[in-house]
Amino acid sequence: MTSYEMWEMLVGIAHTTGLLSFDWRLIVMWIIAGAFLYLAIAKNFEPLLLLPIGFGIFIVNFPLVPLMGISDEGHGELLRLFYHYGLEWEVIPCVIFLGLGAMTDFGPLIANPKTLLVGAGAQLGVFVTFTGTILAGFSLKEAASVGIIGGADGPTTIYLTQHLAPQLLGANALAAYSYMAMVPLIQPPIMRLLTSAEERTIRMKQLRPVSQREKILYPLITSAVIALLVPSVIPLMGMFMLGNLMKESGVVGRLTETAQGDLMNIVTIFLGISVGATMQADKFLSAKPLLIFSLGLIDFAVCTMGGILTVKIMNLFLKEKINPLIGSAGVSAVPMSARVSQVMGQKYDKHNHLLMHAMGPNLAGVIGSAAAAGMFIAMFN
Amino acid sequence: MGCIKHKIKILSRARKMNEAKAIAMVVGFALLCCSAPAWADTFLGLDTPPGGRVVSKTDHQLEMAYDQDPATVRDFYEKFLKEEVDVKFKDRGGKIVVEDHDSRPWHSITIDKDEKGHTGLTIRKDSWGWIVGTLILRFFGVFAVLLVLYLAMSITGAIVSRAVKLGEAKK
Repeated sequence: MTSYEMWEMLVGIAHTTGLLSFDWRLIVMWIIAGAFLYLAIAKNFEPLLLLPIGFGIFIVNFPLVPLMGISDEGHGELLRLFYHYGLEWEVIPCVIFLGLGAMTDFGPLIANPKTLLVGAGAQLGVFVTFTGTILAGFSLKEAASVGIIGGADGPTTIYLTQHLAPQLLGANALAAYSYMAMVPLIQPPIMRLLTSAEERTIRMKQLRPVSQREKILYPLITSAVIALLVPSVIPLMGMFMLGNLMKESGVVGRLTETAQGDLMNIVTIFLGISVGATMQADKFLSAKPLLIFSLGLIDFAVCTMGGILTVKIMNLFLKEKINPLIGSAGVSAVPMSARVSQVMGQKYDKHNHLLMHAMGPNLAGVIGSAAAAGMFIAMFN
Repeated sequence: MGCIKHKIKILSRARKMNEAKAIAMVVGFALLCCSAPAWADTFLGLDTPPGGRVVSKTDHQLEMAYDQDPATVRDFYEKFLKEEVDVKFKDRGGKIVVEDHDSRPWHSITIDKDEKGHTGLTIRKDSWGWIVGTLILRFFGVFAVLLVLYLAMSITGAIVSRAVKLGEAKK
């Protein structure tokens, strides 16, 4: 072998490594990935999602990695396949909703169905942000997908974004999950600002016990109402209610256990890594993700305000007043925002237990954000 | 020798002239081709069908009248906008409304027929009226969905609670 051949071979080898295709933008993406991994591992913020998302961002941002492209044989590479079948086909958000349904106790909402209206009021930010997003130069479909971030429901955000603006999936999903993790930081100042000391100490009557029959009927009624009024979100809500029916019926323990445990864990891994993998430097590094994060924060704040103001308006007509602190739980973020209501309530009255009361608007928020997503899908169909 | 050089000069000048002519012809043809699809008028970047009279024109709205029937005008836009996935054609009480659901400078085109049998064409710019209107309606739509659910749950709750109480009383 001549020295020239040797040199040529070395150059050839160097070209197959990523070293010669390096780009400074990749380092920026590693920093972003590092921030999410730090939040997940060191701060324990939504680790089940932020860890695979962070790793997904990290691993796709290396040159020449065969993860999100199309192979020479014409089929998708590993993460592209996860993304294609899981997210593009809208399977994962629906399966996650199945698991969530199998974990959810709708008792507090059934016992106090008035709180459904709080879940609707908390969608205010979704519609306000839609307008702001258009002013920021996004298209109507993109604006709708950014608006839904305020609903604080990860699967719904992913479902709607995939439907209307798949190019924003990574940024939207990340904004939604990041703000959900930051509920304890974002909501309390808004709650203090919009409530008086007297309102914060309102004690609510203990919720009535809910029979198993009601709990079994609830998913059927909800499915019927949603299927009739907002059919476009029935893939999500139908799976949610199936999971809940499995749980409440008590006759399919094994299925319930699988849905809320192993199945949920499996799809969470695929969801996280697929969402992270969409954030490749050449697609992600632009002004849009920054705008999405800023608008998402405003969205979240306005949704929190919407929930609290709805309770205050309802109190004008109700004999038994509702503590407006539970209004903030109208954004989904189950059960974190309900816990924030409980903690805030106990700051002003140690013996005031708001958690179960706040679970009502919290679950209503899930249905409300799905209904809002359905309204947006209907708008463009 | 000098004569040959002179001839070569003339020949090369002639060749250059021919090349220049060919280029001019190609450019001219290309310009003709490009100008061919340009219609009589455009409004907010949107071509209008040829043969119409401008009835009124502001920065936000253009009204035109045509002697052709509405279907011809509709066909023009269907052909012109067939690639646009965010443009929807709707039939609203005898009017054809072409609505943009993306972010174009124009928002809607309305094609209708007046009493005199003329086809009217109205292109509107401002989508804010539509955006704010649809958002308010949809926000209240979310309330309506959850209100229906509230009523359904309240009624079911009352019926089931009564049934449970009756069952317990029997025991």
